[in-house]
Amino acid sequence: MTAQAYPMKWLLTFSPASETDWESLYKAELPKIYNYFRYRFGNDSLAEDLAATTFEKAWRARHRYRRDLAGFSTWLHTIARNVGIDHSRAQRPEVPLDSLLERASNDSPERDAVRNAEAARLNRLLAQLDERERELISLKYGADLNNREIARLTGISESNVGTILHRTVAALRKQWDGSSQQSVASGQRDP
Amino acid sequence: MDEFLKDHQEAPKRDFAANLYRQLNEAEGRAPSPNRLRKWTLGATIAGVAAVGLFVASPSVRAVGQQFLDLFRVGRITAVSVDQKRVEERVRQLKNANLDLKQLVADKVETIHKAGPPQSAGSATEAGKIAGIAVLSPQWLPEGMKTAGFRVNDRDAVRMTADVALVNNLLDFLELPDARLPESVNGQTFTFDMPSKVVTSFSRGNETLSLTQAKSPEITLPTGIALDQFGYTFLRIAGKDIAEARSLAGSTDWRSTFVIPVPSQAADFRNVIVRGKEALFISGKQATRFRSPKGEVTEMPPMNSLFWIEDGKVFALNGPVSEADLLQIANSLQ
Repeated sequence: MTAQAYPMKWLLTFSPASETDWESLYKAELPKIYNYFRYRFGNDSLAEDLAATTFEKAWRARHRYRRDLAGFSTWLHTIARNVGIDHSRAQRPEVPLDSLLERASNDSPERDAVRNAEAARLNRLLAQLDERERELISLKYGADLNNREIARLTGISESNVGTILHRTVAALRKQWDGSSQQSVASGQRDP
Repeated sequence: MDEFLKDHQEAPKRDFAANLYRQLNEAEGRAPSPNRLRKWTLGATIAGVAAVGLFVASPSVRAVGQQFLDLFRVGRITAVSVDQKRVEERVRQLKNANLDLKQLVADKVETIHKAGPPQSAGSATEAGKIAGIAVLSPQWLPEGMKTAGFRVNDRDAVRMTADVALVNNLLDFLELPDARLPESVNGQTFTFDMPSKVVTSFSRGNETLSLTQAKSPEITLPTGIALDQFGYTFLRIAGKDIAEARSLAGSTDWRSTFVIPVPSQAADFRNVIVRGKEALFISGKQATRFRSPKGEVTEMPPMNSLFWIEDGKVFALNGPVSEADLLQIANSLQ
C-alpha cells in the first residue's frame, strides 16, 4: 500500500537506522544561538563570534547526543549562556547597541531604514533591562525557547520565568509604544 | 503584545553559516558527512522505499472536502523480506534521472500540522504530558545501562492527493508497468496524521538503546479504494517480484497492517510474543561502525529491534543488545 510510505518515514525514527542529521540540526540551532546573542548583546558581528565560539565548544562532543538531539540542543544553549557570561565579564560596558540589521537585505532602502531604526530603538530599550531580564528576553525571543526550557536552563522556576517575562514584556511594550508616539510626534514637528 | 520583540530575529548570514559549518567539520579532521561509516541497511532500504513511495502517494489539494469514511490504524506490524539491491537500484534510477521528488510534491502537499522541533523532557511523566500519552518505563535494564534522557517529537499531519498520471509515469520509468494504479484513484485524498512520539534513551558507554512509543498513526482514506492494488504497488517498489507481490498483497489486511520491508542481506525477522502480544523482532546481521571526532572507529554489535502494538500505541525498542535483553526490557515496562 503506497499510503504506507509516509508512515514509514515516521517509523524511521523508531529504528536504529535514523541517521543523525547534524547538518539539519546545525541549520536549526544556529539561528537560535545567533539570535540569542543578538538580543543579549545587540551586535551582529559579536553575535557571530559568540555563536561560533559556542558551536566550536559543543560540536566536538555532539556525537554523545546521537540519540538525544533535544539534549544536544539544551546543552548547546547552556554553553551559549556560559559563553555570554564570559563575554560580559571580560568586556564591560557592553558594545553600543545600534548595529543590528546592518546587513544587506533584499528589502527596499526605505524598509531597511525603518527596520534599522526600529532595531536600534529596541536595543536601547533592551539595554535598560537588568541582566536577568535581558537574559530571559534573549532566551525567549532570540533563542525561541519556551518558558519550561528557559526554566531548565536558568534554574529559575517556570512560573517565575513566566512572571518576569510578562512584567518585562509589558514594560517594554509600554516604552515601545511611547517611543513610537514620540517618533511620530517629533516627525510631525520637524518635517 | 510581544510581536515587536519577535519581529527582530534575523537569519545568520549565509557566508557566516556556511564557513562556520565547514570549519567545525574540518576541525575534527573529516569531511562534513554523516559520522556513521555504514548505515544499518534496513534503514537505508526503508528510507529508499519511503522516498519512492512518497512520490507514489503524490498529492494535490484539489480534492479537499472529499468525504472520508475509511481509516487506517496500525493494528499489526509485520515484515516482508526484500532484496535491498533492487531497492537501491530503483533509488539510483531516480537519482540518475535527476528527478527532484521533494520538489515535485512540494507544492502539492497540504500541511495540516507542521511538526515543531523536538523537545527534551526531564521525566517520563513530563514527556507523556507533552505528547499526550501515558509513557511506560522499563523496570529492568541490562547491567550498567541507565536512562539518558527523554525526547518528544511533535505531531506531523499532511493531506495528499493521488496524481495517478505522475505515479504511473514513475512506475513506467522504474520498469514496473504491472504496478500502475487505476485511474479511479486520481484526485483521491489521503490524510496522514503522525502523532507525537516519546523517545526514551538509555546508555552504557558508547551503546545506546532507545524506546519509542506513540499513538498509532492514522490514515484517512477515501471509500472504495482498492487497497490490495496499493499494497501490490508498494511491494513491487519494495523489490518483490510479481508473483510474491500478488500473493502477499492478496493475503494482507492493508487497513490495519503496517508492513516493513526488511532487506534479507541485512537482517532477519520473526514473530515473538511480548507482553502476551504478537511482536516483530528484527535482528541485524551487520555491525555498526562509528567514527569518533578524533577519528577512532568503534564497532558496535548489530542492532536489534522489537516492534509491537499495545492499547492502540506503537512501541519500538532498538539497540545493540541481545534478543533476550530486548524482550526482558519490553516485558518489564510499566
